[in-house]
Amino acid sequence: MDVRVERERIIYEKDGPVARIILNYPQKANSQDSLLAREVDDALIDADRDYDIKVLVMKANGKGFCSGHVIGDTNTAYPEFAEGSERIGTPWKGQYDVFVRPVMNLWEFSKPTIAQVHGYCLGGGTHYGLTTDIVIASDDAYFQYPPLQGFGMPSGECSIEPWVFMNWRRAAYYLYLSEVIDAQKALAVGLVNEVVPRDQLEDRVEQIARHIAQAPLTTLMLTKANLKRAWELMGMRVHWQGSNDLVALASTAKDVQALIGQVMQGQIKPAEMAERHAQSAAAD
Amino acid sequence: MAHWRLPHGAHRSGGAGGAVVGGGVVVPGAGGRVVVEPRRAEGWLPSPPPQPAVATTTAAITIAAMERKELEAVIYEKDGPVARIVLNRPDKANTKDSVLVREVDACLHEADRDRDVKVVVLKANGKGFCGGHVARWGPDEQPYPEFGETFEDLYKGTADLFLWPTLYLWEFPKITISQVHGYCLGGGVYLGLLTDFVVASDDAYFQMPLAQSLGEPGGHTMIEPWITMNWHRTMDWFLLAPTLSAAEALQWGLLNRVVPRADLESTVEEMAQTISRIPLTTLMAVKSNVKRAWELMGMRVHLQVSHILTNLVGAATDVQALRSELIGSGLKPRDFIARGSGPGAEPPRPPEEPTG
Repeated sequence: MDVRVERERIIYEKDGPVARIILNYPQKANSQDSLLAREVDDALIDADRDYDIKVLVMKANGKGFCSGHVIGDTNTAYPEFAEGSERIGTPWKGQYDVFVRPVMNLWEFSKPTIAQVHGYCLGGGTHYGLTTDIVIASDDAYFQYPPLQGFGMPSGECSIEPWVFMNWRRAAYYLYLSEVIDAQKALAVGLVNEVVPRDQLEDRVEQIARHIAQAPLTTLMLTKANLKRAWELMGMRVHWQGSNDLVALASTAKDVQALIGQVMQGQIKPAEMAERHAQSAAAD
Repeated sequence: MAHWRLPHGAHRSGGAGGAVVGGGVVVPGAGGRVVVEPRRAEGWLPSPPPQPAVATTTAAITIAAMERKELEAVIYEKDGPVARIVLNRPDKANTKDSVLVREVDACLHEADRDRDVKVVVLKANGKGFCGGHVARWGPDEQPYPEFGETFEDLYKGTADLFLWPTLYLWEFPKITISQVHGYCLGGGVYLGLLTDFVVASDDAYFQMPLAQSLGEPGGHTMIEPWITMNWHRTMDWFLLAPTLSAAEALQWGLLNRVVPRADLESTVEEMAQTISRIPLTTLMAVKSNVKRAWELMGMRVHLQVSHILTNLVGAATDVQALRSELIGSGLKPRDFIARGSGPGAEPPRPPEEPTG
């Protein structure tokens, strides 16, 4: 191991040509507070500049990969949102700084990226778990975007769904119903590359990383640039920025605020709220 | 050179394709006659461009009586291949209240469905072309019932009034010409500058006062990057809110021609007649192909996204503070911008006066 830095929310490792960002906030389900988002972003920038690094692995300690945004104490979790609300009446810019720019940095990262996903990968966590170049999931992994049913949000600050599903109906079904997609379905619909038993996950990802790293750095960077440009030409980058405008807009609407109020006051998690809606529809 | 002229009296309905028979093209003729025209000698060519009956003789244009409908805020005229939408609320500076917007949109739809119409002229009665959105309402006025009471209604209402009709004017399948005199301000620039041709009289002037007054990033659909195709001019236009004279607007590439006020009408009418000599199909094909270049560059999506941003800023407290200041001042947006320029400043400036 060449470098191992333990920060408040993550561990950052550099091991030959492989860099690893390990979400390490298991007591809070690796939820993405502002600090975690910034630490991930700082590590990305470092790995991007380091000529020794050829591959980046995103993974997590604890029961699952990432549970998404912190719901509850916005002032503590997202001082940028609170500041925006105080200064200009909306969290629009704060959202951009915490959840658009850094997610675009992950997607635009100049070298190959691999997500190693186990357990839950929810809400904003899918932006880490599904926007890497390669996703390897363990058989206990599952993906969900609960905020549509559970928090009134029209997808995330970066609306990745049209781009990662590349299928209108699947993206619509997943979002509208806050569908839980297990590892096998994720494999079937092309969200992940491989599903492996949990005890083999780490080894498999490391093997893939070493495999990729045998190619010249230049070749890897050019391949990444060329893949990325196809999606840029299709409009993904601009669409992501536009989706943050919609999220900010939604948060000012009364019907959305009513749902958010219900979730906050009842201390209900968005995923739980989504499940209540599903059960209530089934009971009718 | 082959001539695809129809024999006198023969009519060819607009969209009917001819069947190829032998060496000629069979087209339905008037009174059930079949006219066989020779194919071009120099090689295979598709059937000739169809021409609407009305364009086959100039006599048809003069024979047809002009149709004229006076609506609440606009007058709609149909005059052979030329339709005219005349903004007709001079007492309200032709401001785009809900009625005016919906009437313009309805007239456009009618002109689109009307097979005789090839060109639509947008012009205005009164001292100027269009004063923009209604920024200052009287106590009993409700110029925008669609806006409702809530933020949600406002989002939908502004889309229905200021996004979709604007996109429709831009996408309008036939040719559009704006005939601009006097002021063309704020939301009025969408009617004045988003058409295919813009002819202005030398007294015309253009301004987007909304960033400096209402704190809006333009008016719901940001057409400026697409019509100026110039980054620095676009930023200047929005943030410094200059009043562009007709000559300056011509220099910026926003206009086709600037003519003396007395020649404005005749210039536009002549232009419309010249254009309408071209077959409708050709006109629509040219328009589609030009439009698609801008669509491929992203204009259509950009206009929709800019509507979202325009609504979003309304929720921001710094924008709300500026609006309160505007409302408190009792000034119109254009005059509000000029406030603090000295006592008595400043009535709407004719462009020839210094603007600093």
